[in-house]
Amino acid sequence: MSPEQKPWVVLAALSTLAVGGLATAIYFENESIVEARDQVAQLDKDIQVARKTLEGTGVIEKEVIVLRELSGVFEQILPTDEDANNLIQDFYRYSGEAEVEPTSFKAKSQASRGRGKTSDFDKVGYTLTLTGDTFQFLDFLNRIETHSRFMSVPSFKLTSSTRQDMESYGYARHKIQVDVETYVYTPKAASKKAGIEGYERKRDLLANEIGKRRQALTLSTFNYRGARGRRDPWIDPRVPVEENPSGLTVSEQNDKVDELIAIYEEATQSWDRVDTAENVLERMMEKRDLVEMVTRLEDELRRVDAGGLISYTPAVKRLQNEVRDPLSRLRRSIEETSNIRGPLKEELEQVASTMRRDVESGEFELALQAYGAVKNSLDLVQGDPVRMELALELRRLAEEADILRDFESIDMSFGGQALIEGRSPVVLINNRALSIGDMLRPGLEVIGIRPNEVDFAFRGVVLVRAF
Amino acid sequence: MIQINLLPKEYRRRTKTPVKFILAVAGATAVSGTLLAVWCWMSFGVAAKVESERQVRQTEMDGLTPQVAYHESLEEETKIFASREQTLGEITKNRILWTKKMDELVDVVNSSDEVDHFIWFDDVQVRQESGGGRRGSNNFGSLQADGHSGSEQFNQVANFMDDVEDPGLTHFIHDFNDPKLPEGSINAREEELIPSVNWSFPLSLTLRSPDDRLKARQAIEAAKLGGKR
Repeated sequence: MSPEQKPWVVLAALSTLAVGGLATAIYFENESIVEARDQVAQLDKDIQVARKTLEGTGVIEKEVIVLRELSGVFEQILPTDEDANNLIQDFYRYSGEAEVEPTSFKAKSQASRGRGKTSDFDKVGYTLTLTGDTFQFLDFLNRIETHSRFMSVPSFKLTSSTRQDMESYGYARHKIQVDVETYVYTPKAASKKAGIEGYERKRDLLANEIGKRRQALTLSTFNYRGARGRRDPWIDPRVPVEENPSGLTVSEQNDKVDELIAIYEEATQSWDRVDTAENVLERMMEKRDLVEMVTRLEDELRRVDAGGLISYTPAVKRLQNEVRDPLSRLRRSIEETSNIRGPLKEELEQVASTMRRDVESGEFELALQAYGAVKNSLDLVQGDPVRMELALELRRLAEEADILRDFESIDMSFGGQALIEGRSPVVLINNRALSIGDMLRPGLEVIGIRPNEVDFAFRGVVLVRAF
Repeated sequence: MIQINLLPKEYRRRTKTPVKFILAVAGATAVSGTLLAVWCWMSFGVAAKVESERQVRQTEMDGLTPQVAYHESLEEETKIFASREQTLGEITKNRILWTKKMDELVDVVNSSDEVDHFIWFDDVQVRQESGGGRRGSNNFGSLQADGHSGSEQFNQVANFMDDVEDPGLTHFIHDFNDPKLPEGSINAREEELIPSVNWSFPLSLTLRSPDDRLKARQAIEAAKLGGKR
């Protein structure tokens, strides 16, 4: 290299180095700027997205408050594990209250409800089989459907009782199979609750919305009011051809039996109270009421028999099984616990009252039947002046009823009468002209004739027959 | 030829830097200077400005991030609770109070003093289905019963079906689709019973969808409220 070339070379090297270095610095600076701009652009985008997201925060915050408040409803509506385990206890209690007879209960396989296997709602199901009439079943069903926790009946089948069953048991025993299911609330995804500032104030402002949503989740219920005199549509209502002398329909006969069963149940409750009475006076009072009820029931049964009111076989059967037989047992129990001989004063008063009522209403045969219930035990009251007086009264009433019954049974057809001043009156009965002192038949003497009325002397008593 | 300058050093002509070289140096300096200026402008101007903008955005973003996190946690909570609410809503919406339905059917049977129809049943089977399956099934369940009409007049079956559909009598039909046309067949005469003649007929009703049932219930409630006003 010549000395003249050397500066040039040096200059060229230095220039190259300077330019190269500066160009590189500019290049990297530019890269850095581009990157920073990209970051700015990205941040701009993120900020925009964040702002857009945050626009909905108010709404979603309200929604969370509402949903948090509603989560209490889930816990109120759906059973806990313990409740689910107690289902059978509930079914047992309901069957007793509704008077259905359970014959089996079987758990159904559990399944989850909702999306995925991690649903918060585990289905619990049972298949129950039972017997009972439709109204008992509806009572049972209603108790399930109005349980404080959610329960639903997705299916059931009722097969009606046969006519033969009805005649042998006296009441319907429909065969019923019912599926019951519920959901146990077991929250699986425990969410971390975000702290909402001023939660209580915001919740109070949302009270209306919370109430509305709570209402939508609340279970609807039904107030079942029993049979209310309606016929069970799953009982064949046809009646046998033999006529019922009373003319009562099947439904009326069933109602009559229900009425008597209700009196009997009242009597058994009274008997329980006699047993648990705290003192003698209370026991006597209860026993007096009980005796009145039993006597009233016996009186009603006599009326039923006399009038042939109950002829529908199932009703007859129920009357026998649920009134007559238990009533006889109750009567025996009462008599066994009685520490005095003969009927009680209250019983005698009740019989006397019944007889008086029957005599006054012309039901002489019923009065005599009532007397028949105590007739044989009247001699046992000797020595008790009060009861002796009542026994005497009963005998007098019985005699009066007997005379009146016999007098009533005498057939008389009125043909007319002649009442002429100054002359003896004449009446035409059974086509015979009779004056005062004449005998219509042996033992039946005419002793007075007035317009449309004739007085007779019959078995030592003066009786009037109006025409 | 070789030239030798024999003049003493102080008399010799001074050596001048060539103009070309000066120009070259000046050029190189200018280029370098320009590049340096560009670099400075980029570093202390553009880059600083962009960095400043980035920092402003970052600060803003830092402010928004906790709010977004709060929003996301709310969203997460909503998803969980909303799913529970929806499931419970479906469960309760699907439920039918069968006590009410059966009680209404008993009312229908016992209506009109049983003069227009005299009906009893051998059985009843009720089954609710979820419906709306993969194939878009519209089967939401049914109520089936084998009925009897105790009359020689087979039009009493039609009278009964009229009463089943009568909204003035009961709300029984509101949960069901319209029933099929009445049909029946006469049974063998049973002389020992009153009535001796009876007709068998099927009572077959299909359930409406839960949404339709809900609408019907709401319509009834609205009508009741309207009536009260």
